[in-house]
Amino acid sequence: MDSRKLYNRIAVLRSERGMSRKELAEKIGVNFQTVGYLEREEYNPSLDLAFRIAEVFGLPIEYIFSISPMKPMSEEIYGLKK
Amino acid sequence: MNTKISLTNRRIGMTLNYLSLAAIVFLFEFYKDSGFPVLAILAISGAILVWLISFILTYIRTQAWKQVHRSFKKLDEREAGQIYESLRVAYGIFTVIALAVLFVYSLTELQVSIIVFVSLLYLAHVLPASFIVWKK
Repeated sequence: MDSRKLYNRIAVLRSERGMSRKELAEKIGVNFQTVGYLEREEYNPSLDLAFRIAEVFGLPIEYIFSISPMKPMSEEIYGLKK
Repeated sequence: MNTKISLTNRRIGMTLNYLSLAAIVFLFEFYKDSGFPVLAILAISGAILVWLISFILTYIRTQAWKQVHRSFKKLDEREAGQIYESLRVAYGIFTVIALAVLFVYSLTELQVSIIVFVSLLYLAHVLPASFIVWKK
Protein backbone atom coordinates (compact mmCIF):
# COMPACT_ATOMS: atom_id res chain seq x y z
CA MET A 1 0.00 0.00 0.00
CA ASP A 2 1.33 3.43 -0.93
CA SER A 3 1.32 5.79 2.02
CA ARG A 4 0.28 9.43 1.68
CA LYS A 5 2.88 12.15 1.79
CA LEU A 6 3.08 13.85 5.16
CA TYR A 7 4.03 17.53 5.38
CA ASN A 8 5.76 18.87 8.46
CA ARG A 9 7.30 21.90 10.17
CA ILE A 10 10.28 20.13 11.73
CA ALA A 11 12.92 22.23 9.93
CA VAL A 12 11.31 25.55 10.97
CA LEU A 13 10.72 24.46 14.58
CA ARG A 14 14.23 23.09 14.94
CA SER A 15 15.75 26.24 13.50
CA GLU A 16 13.60 28.44 15.81
CA ARG A 17 14.96 26.59 18.81
CA GLY A 18 18.55 26.82 17.56
CA MET A 19 18.84 23.05 17.59
CA SER A 20 21.19 21.12 15.32
CA ARG A 21 20.01 18.02 13.46
CA LYS A 22 22.27 15.95 15.66
CA GLU A 23 20.78 17.38 18.86
CA LEU A 24 17.23 16.72 17.67
CA ALA A 25 18.22 13.23 16.52
CA GLU A 26 19.62 12.42 19.98
CA LYS A 27 16.46 13.66 21.68
CA ILE A 28 14.12 11.58 19.52
CA GLY A 29 16.45 8.57 19.33
CA VAL A 30 17.22 8.35 15.61
CA ASN A 31 20.23 8.76 13.32
CA PHE A 32 20.85 12.43 12.39
CA GLN A 33 20.41 11.51 8.71
CA THR A 34 16.85 10.44 9.51
CA VAL A 35 16.13 14.00 10.71
CA GLY A 36 17.24 15.20 7.26
CA TYR A 37 14.89 12.73 5.58
CA LEU A 38 12.03 13.90 7.84
CA GLU A 39 12.72 17.58 7.14
CA ARG A 40 12.82 17.01 3.39
CA GLU A 41 9.54 15.08 3.75
CA GLU A 42 11.15 12.05 2.12
CA TYR A 43 10.20 9.79 5.00
CA ASN A 44 6.94 9.47 6.96
CA PRO A 45 7.60 8.83 10.65
CA SER A 46 5.78 6.19 12.67
CA LEU A 47 3.15 7.40 15.12
CA ASP A 48 5.58 6.76 17.99
CA LEU A 49 8.31 8.88 16.38
CA ALA A 50 5.82 11.64 15.51
CA PHE A 51 4.75 11.80 19.18
CA ARG A 52 8.38 11.92 20.31
CA ILE A 53 8.99 14.87 17.96
CA ALA A 54 5.86 16.62 19.26
CA GLU A 55 7.07 16.08 22.86
CA VAL A 56 10.49 17.60 22.09
CA PHE A 57 8.90 20.72 20.57
CA GLY A 58 6.15 20.83 23.19
CA LEU A 59 3.46 21.23 20.54
CA PRO A 60 0.37 19.29 19.50
CA ILE A 61 1.11 16.69 16.83
CA GLU A 62 -1.34 18.26 14.34
CA TYR A 63 0.64 21.51 14.50
CA ILE A 64 3.79 19.73 13.29
CA PHE A 65 2.39 17.20 10.80
CA SER A 66 -0.29 17.51 8.17
CA ILE A 67 -1.57 15.62 5.14
CA SER A 68 -1.89 18.88 3.18
CA PRO A 69 0.87 21.44 2.49
CA MET A 70 1.36 23.66 5.54
CA LYS A 71 0.96 27.42 5.51
CA PRO A 72 3.93 29.49 6.72
CA MET A 73 3.71 29.97 10.50
CA SER A 74 3.66 33.78 10.17
CA GLU A 75 0.61 33.54 7.91
CA GLU A 76 -1.15 31.25 10.36
CA ILE A 77 -0.40 33.50 13.36
CA TYR A 78 -1.49 36.61 11.42
CA GLY A 79 -4.66 34.77 10.39
CA LEU A 80 -5.40 33.96 14.04
CA LYS A 81 -4.95 37.62 15.11
CA LYS A 82 -7.32 38.81 12.40
CA MET B 1 25.50 5.92 4.93
CA ASN B 2 28.31 8.27 3.95
CA THR B 3 27.15 10.01 0.77
CA LYS B 4 30.31 12.06 0.09
CA ILE B 5 31.04 9.76 -2.85
CA SER B 6 28.61 10.70 -5.63
CA LEU B 7 25.86 8.33 -6.72
CA THR B 8 27.41 7.93 -10.19
CA ASN B 9 30.81 7.04 -8.73
CA ARG B 10 29.22 4.58 -6.32
CA ARG B 11 27.35 2.91 -9.17
CA ILE B 12 30.53 2.75 -11.28
CA GLY B 13 32.40 1.24 -8.31
CA MET B 14 29.67 -1.34 -7.80
CA THR B 15 29.66 -2.31 -11.49
CA LEU B 16 33.47 -2.63 -11.47
CA ASN B 17 33.26 -4.77 -8.34
CA TYR B 18 30.84 -7.23 -9.95
CA LEU B 19 32.71 -7.27 -13.26
CA SER B 20 36.03 -7.97 -11.55
CA LEU B 21 34.42 -10.72 -9.47
CA ALA B 22 33.01 -12.30 -12.64
CA ALA B 23 36.46 -12.00 -14.28
CA ILE B 24 38.15 -13.71 -11.31
CA VAL B 25 35.68 -16.62 -11.42
CA PHE B 26 35.82 -16.94 -15.21
CA LEU B 27 39.65 -16.84 -15.40
CA PHE B 28 40.01 -19.30 -12.55
CA GLU B 29 37.48 -21.73 -14.03
CA PHE B 30 39.01 -21.40 -17.51
CA TYR B 31 42.59 -22.04 -16.46
CA LYS B 32 42.15 -24.44 -13.52
CA ASP B 33 42.54 -27.60 -15.63
CA SER B 34 45.26 -26.34 -17.95
CA GLY B 35 47.49 -24.85 -15.28
CA PHE B 36 47.94 -21.11 -14.80
CA PRO B 37 50.21 -19.43 -17.38
CA VAL B 38 51.94 -16.20 -16.33
CA LEU B 39 49.47 -14.11 -18.35
CA ALA B 40 46.50 -15.73 -16.55
CA ILE B 41 48.10 -15.15 -13.13
CA LEU B 42 48.67 -11.49 -14.06
CA ALA B 43 45.07 -11.13 -15.28
CA ILE B 44 43.68 -12.76 -12.11
CA SER B 45 45.91 -10.59 -9.91
CA GLY B 46 44.72 -7.47 -11.78
CA ALA B 47 41.09 -8.52 -11.37
CA ILE B 48 41.63 -9.16 -7.63
CA LEU B 49 43.20 -5.69 -7.28
CA VAL B 50 40.27 -4.01 -9.07
CA TRP B 51 37.82 -6.03 -6.96
CA LEU B 52 39.56 -5.05 -3.70
CA ILE B 53 39.87 -1.34 -4.53
CA SER B 54 36.28 -1.09 -5.78
CA PHE B 55 35.07 -2.97 -2.69
CA ILE B 56 36.84 -0.58 -0.31
CA LEU B 57 35.69 2.55 -2.17
CA THR B 58 32.12 1.41 -2.80
CA TYR B 59 31.18 -0.52 0.31
CA ILE B 60 33.63 0.34 3.11
CA ARG B 61 34.11 4.08 2.59
CA THR B 62 30.38 4.64 2.09
CA GLN B 63 29.70 2.57 5.24
CA ALA B 64 27.05 0.59 3.33
CA TRP B 65 28.70 -2.71 4.35
CA LYS B 66 28.71 -1.64 8.01
CA GLN B 67 25.09 -0.51 7.83
CA VAL B 68 23.70 -3.79 6.48
CA HIS B 69 25.73 -5.84 8.96
CA ARG B 70 24.73 -3.75 11.99
CA SER B 71 22.43 -5.24 14.62
CA PHE B 72 18.74 -4.40 14.03
CA LYS B 73 18.56 -3.05 17.59
CA LYS B 74 21.03 -0.29 16.70
CA LEU B 75 19.02 0.94 13.70
CA ASP B 76 16.30 3.55 13.81
CA GLU B 77 12.95 2.89 12.15
CA ARG B 78 13.91 4.43 8.77
CA GLU B 79 17.20 2.50 8.60
CA ALA B 80 15.48 -0.72 9.69
CA GLY B 81 12.91 -0.29 6.90
CA GLN B 82 15.68 0.36 4.40
CA ILE B 83 17.67 -2.71 5.49
CA TYR B 84 14.53 -4.86 5.41
CA GLU B 85 13.85 -3.76 1.82
CA SER B 86 17.48 -4.35 0.77
CA LEU B 87 17.50 -7.84 2.34
CA ARG B 88 14.20 -8.71 0.64
CA VAL B 89 15.47 -7.70 -2.81
CA ALA B 90 18.91 -9.26 -2.24
CA TYR B 91 17.34 -12.56 -1.18
CA GLY B 92 15.34 -12.74 -4.42
CA ILE B 93 18.33 -11.89 -6.62
CA PHE B 94 20.70 -14.22 -4.78
CA THR B 95 18.29 -17.16 -5.00
CA VAL B 96 17.97 -16.77 -8.77
CA ILE B 97 21.76 -16.42 -9.26
CA ALA B 98 22.61 -19.37 -6.98
CA LEU B 99 20.04 -21.64 -8.62
CA ALA B 100 21.19 -20.60 -12.11
CA VAL B 101 24.83 -21.35 -11.21
CA LEU B 102 23.91 -24.75 -9.74
CA PHE B 103 21.78 -25.50 -12.80
CA VAL B 104 24.61 -24.68 -15.23
CA TYR B 105 27.07 -26.76 -13.20
CA SER B 106 24.71 -29.73 -13.12
CA LEU B 107 24.11 -29.48 -16.89
CA THR B 108 27.82 -29.34 -17.67
CA GLU B 109 28.59 -31.98 -15.01
CA LEU B 110 31.29 -29.77 -13.54
CA GLN B 111 32.18 -29.61 -9.87
CA VAL B 112 31.52 -26.38 -8.00
CA SER B 113 34.98 -25.01 -7.23
CA ILE B 114 36.01 -23.23 -4.06
CA ILE B 115 36.20 -19.93 -6.00
CA VAL B 116 32.56 -20.23 -7.10
CA PHE B 117 31.54 -21.13 -3.56
CA VAL B 118 33.41 -18.17 -2.04
CA SER B 119 32.02 -15.84 -4.74
CA LEU B 120 28.46 -16.91 -3.94
CA LEU B 121 29.15 -16.40 -0.24
CA TYR B 122 30.52 -12.92 -0.98
CA LEU B 123 27.51 -12.19 -3.19
CA ALA B 124 25.09 -13.16 -0.42
CA HIS B 125 26.75 -10.59 1.87
CA VAL B 126 27.31 -7.82 -0.65
CA LEU B 127 23.93 -7.79 -2.42
CA PRO B 128 22.00 -5.98 0.36
CA ALA B 129 24.77 -3.35 0.55
CA SER B 130 24.65 -3.03 -3.25
CA PHE B 131 20.94 -2.24 -3.09
CA ILE B 132 21.65 0.62 -0.68
CA VAL B 133 24.64 1.89 -2.68
CA TRP B 134 22.59 1.84 -5.90
CA LYS B 135 19.41 3.43 -4.54
CA LYS B 136 20.57 6.14 -2.13
